[in-house]
Amino acid sequence: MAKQQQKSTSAHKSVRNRLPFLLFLSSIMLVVAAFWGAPYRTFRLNQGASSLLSFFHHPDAPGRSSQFIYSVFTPMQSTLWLGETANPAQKTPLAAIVHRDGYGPKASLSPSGESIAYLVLPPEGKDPAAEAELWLINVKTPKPRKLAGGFDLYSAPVWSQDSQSVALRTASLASQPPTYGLVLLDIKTAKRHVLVQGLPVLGIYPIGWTAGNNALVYATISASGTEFHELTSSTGEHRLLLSISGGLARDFRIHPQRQQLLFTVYDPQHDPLYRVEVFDMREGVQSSVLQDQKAFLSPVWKPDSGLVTAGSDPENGRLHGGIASVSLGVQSEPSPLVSAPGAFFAPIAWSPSGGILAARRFFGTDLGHIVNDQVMLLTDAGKTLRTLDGQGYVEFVGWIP
Amino acid sequence: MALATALLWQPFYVFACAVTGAQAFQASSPEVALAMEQAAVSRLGPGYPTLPLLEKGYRDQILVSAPVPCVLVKSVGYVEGSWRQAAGSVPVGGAGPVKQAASCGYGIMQITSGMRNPGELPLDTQQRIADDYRYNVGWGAKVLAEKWNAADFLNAVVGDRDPAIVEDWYYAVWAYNQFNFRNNPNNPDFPLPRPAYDGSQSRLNYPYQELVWGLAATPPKERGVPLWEPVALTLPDSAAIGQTPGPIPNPALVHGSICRSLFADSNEVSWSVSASAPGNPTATVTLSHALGAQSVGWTATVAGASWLTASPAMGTAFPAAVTLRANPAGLSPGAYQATLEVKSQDGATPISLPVRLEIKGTTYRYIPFVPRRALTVGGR
Repeated sequence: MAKQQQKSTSAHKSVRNRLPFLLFLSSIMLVVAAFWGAPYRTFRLNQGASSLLSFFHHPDAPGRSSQFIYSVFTPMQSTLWLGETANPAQKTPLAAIVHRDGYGPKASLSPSGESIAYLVLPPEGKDPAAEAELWLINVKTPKPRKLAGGFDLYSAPVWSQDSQSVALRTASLASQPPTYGLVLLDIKTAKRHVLVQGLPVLGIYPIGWTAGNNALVYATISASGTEFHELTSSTGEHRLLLSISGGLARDFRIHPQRQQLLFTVYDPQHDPLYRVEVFDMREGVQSSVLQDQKAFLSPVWKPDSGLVTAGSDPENGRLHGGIASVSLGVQSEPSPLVSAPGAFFAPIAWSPSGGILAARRFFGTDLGHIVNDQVMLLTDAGKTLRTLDGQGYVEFVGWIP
Repeated sequence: MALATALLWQPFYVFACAVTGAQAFQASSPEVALAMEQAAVSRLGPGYPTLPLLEKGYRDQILVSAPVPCVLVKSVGYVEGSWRQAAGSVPVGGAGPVKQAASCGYGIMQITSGMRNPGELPLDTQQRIADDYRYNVGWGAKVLAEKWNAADFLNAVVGDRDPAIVEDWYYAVWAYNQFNFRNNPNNPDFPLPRPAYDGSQSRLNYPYQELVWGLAATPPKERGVPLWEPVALTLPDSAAIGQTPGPIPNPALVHGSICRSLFADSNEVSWSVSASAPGNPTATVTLSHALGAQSVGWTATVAGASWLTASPAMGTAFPAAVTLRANPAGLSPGAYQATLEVKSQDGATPISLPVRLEIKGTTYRYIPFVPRRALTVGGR
């Protein structure tokens, strides 16, 4: 007994001697766990601890800054920048793009985050619908390389999932009726592969690639409505995915997992007029996420959440000019993220972790009376991290994964 | 099947523009502004394009003699050619190659229709569109007026289709560029919403007519001075337009735009008289209003001279005639200048008409005296 007590006392002493080390070790583990996000899944913490952990977990916390690409337009020249969420002063110019007066570049960031493809009308270029050149830069070693020319400047390049090729639009506006085409361009060889040619529609819009990089999904608009198609590049086979009779769809976004399409529809033949819709390409199921008599703006996917985030017209009866997220497949009320008097918002893209939303804020009373606008970064709690400033008109290009 | 047919169809175009090697005078902005103001009211003068009568009304139309909204001519001219007839490298006041687009658009108004092949329009017309900025501007205003008259065939009508309302020209301006879906405000190529264009954003974000509307409200500046008086035009509700343009209501707020509505039938008056028998030279200046017969009060005053009178000094309607009478009595031989100023009560830009009087004195023959010595060549 005495021996046992002695042993116990000895154990106590041992623990007491090692207490500072154990406390230090457990605090290290806590911090590491916080960085990994484990506390969110495994522990239930009080408010203070939760705030502390969310500070460490937040992508904008020191050491966890997210990077993004944006462009600043001035009439004769635009600049591509690499920015950091944590430090507004930390920005790196990637390319100064000289272009025709008034016509800025259209840039897209590759899924790998390594390259930016941009279309530009050179200063001597005369026809933006047919003379845009495609250039490529590497984000780490930004040395622009011209790949090809003869594209429609109004449609940004659409990257394949493997970041090896881009889909581009061609246009023949002088023909009657105007016709459009789609071209696939290999970024290593600059070899072109015509996907669609001479299509007499009102407009054609490349959207993205299906899972496995097999097929390009695109939309066409005609007098009868909007259609979504799938084009298998290897076989040239077209498949009609969805037809929205009489409706005018826009803001096309493909889900990061490549199985669902997100878009808005303005449909003057139906009540209510505006819808946010999701189309499941595997199941062939179309569903309305939000509906109202006033417009929804630029819905985007929120990564790994099953949520769609949309902005709205100030008179929209569901979102009232603010940004809100809504669950897919569940009849739930939108969860407001941000709203402000005298302003309204349109989402641009969530960061890959879903922690920061790039959005455009419009100052004005309604869609037809906007006096100013700016690109801003919001936390997932709706707080403003910062606005993107530049000596010109700022446009967000994409998040670095 | 339709898709397959479309895929097989391959367009083939060969563009051969109408005029090659044209040299154009690079007019200054005030010169261009004056030409635009004259073109908008069909007052460029003999030998220059005139406006057609304009349709007014949608279902029950009448033809009216009406101007093209001046601010639209100015804004279209800036969106198209930045108010420059010659290439950008040609300095103001100089002459050089005409500004020409790949689509065979020429000059300030980038006239394309009829300029693809020689002879599509009369050859001298094609030549003048290319090398004469005033003709180019006049032709552009005429094309805009023709787009106005054509729009109702497509049911592209705004409000009651009144040419005096600038906002009713929305579809005509759209058609000046390309009347297709490319310029539809609902085209997904353009972000929605978007702030009004003011020249600081990329043109890619806007349909053509919104570029014109935007610059009308926010004119470009030259040495810090706006090129024209801003007119904050209202855009129509784009939702009413849909995919295919059709009749849409007027916006709640509409505007008119006549930059210059008073005109005299001459640019200046000049007399040359002998000092020995000067007499009382007279001239009659006819005043007119861009809107035709108008009951508008006006005054005519002479500035800078006691030797000149204008009669009557006021009136109540246009057209009107003012008689200028010079009284050279007591004036020494020499050149004299005065200005006739005409102002109307509707706030139109006043007329300032230069009046010149030259009084020739007795002529003496001057024979210089040259010393004979100075005619010696060489030596001292």
